[in-house]
Amino acid sequence: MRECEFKGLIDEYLLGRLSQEETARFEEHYFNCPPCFAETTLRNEIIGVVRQGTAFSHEPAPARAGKGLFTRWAVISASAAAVLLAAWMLIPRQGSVSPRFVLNSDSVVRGASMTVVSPSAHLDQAPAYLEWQAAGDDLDYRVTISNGELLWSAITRGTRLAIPEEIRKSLKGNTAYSWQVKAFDKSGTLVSASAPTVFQIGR
Amino acid sequence: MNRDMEEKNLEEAIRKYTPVITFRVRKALGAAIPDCEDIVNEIMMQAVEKVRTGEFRGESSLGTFLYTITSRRIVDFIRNKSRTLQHAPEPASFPDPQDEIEARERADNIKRMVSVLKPKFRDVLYLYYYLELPREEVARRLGISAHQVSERVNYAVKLIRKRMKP
Repeated sequence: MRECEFKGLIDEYLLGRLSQEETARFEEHYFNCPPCFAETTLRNEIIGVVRQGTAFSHEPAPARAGKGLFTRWAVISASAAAVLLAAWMLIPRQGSVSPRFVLNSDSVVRGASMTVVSPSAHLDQAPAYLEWQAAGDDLDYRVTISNGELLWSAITRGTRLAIPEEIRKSLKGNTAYSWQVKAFDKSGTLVSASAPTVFQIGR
Repeated sequence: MNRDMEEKNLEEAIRKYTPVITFRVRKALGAAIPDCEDIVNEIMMQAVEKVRTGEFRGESSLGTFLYTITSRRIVDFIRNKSRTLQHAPEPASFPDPQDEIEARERADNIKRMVSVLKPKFRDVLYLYYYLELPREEVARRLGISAHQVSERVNYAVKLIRKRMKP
């Protein structure tokens, strides 16, 4: 059966990552495409079960259990899961759906680039705020802090955002962090973005 | 084909869209809202009404027609314009215990199937569906390409789908 071109969007749709326009187009599509609807409901069910978390217990797989299988999973869960879980917990949750404005690598940044106000370069202590200039009217701003991996993100309508205390405390000295702000209009389209700005605490 | 036959066929076709409409309404309003079933019924009644008045004659896509009615009804509900139902609802129906039992069984089956997946497939589901990391992040952590992440997710879903067939 020839695959429908919308099939690749199913996960993004269910994880809340499509823009409003893409979402509308996708929803209209599955009203007209039974295979895509079937696949969407199946994945929705799977995600629902997976989100309960109990499918990832550390019991070794029955019958096929070999030392390699269990050991590998134990290694993954011990090291990566702790880090992942910590990073994940630092991201503010909005209900059970990820923020809508996550871009994938295929997205192109358009429009004017934004000017950031603070922080930048070297600081004596962990910054209390992120601040930037407005990029237009009626926009949502999404800010992120990373150090190679995403540490924190938040969405606001203003041009200044306080960094939560637990994030500030987790920022270490002599480490390069970068932060970035992206502006989205009402339909979820990216209109502007700042270049990632690096800052560092202490010398 | 005379007019009555056309209408009847259309009305039958509309009822077949119940699962799609239900899915869309639940996703937009949350499955726990008790009005979901009533809203779905309203949407279908509206659609059938438009067929009977000739407003919709099947000249364009039925799916798009129903999608439009559904979207508008959802927006109205959210905006609180039509919280009271326009048509007299049928006597309240309680969730069919049999449906619930079946849903429960399916969920348990899926859970079991996920837990016995080979680590390389289970890991992507864990990172992508459970932790909801972006695809590129999943790729980075597993040391594979973003495309391979999608391939593994697709394969895991395919395995689950195959094993769920009666």
